[in-house]
Amino acid sequence: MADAVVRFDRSLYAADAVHAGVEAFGKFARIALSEDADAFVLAVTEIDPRHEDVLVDELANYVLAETAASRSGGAA
Amino acid sequence: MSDGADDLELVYDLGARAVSFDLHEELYAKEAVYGAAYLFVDRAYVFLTRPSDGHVRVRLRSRGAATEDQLVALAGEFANELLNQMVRRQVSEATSQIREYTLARAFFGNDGRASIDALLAELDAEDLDDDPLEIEVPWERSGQGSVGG
Repeated sequence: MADAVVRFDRSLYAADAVHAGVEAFGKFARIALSEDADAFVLAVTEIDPRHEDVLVDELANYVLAETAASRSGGAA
Repeated sequence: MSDGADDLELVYDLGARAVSFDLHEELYAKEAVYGAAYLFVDRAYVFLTRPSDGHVRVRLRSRGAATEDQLVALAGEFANELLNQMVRRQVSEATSQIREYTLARAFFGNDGRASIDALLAELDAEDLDDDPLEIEVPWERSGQGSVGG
């Protein structure tokens, strides 16, 4: 998978979850976090070739799960 | 299926290994969407976007190759789980006062103290003379020489 830009809408994703995702997946790619009015924007580059097919999707899942856990107590 | 002609059906779009559909937040609480998504992250890649105010778009991407039928089934299962989460929330909200009352009574009511006192009195009244070490061995309960006939 080529470099990717992922936008996490502020109204749907928790800031702490996005930061946790950046930290957790930072060892497999270079992830630059920026913010605009509506979203947290992650620019994902230099993805580890071993994980390039799934990294962005796994990162998005991770951030969503962290958000869900923080907003609904986790035990859904 | 994605023409939106019938409001009673789940309207979805199929893409490469992915299916997406929009939910209205007035119908589906965001916490219910999170609850359903949390249960699906091990089965699919779930991503949420906001196509317009008051709407949440859910995109489910399969973890491997998937047929159109499998994607449609995945979306349907997510929708079912969404309803399940909604019902759980409603039941939880409807019974919250009962739970609080029950807990308060258990912790602070006089009945709890009385029950403990009664239990302690019952323990005090027990005759343990025949078992000074309070170790009752099952085979001695009715035994009296039953070993070896």
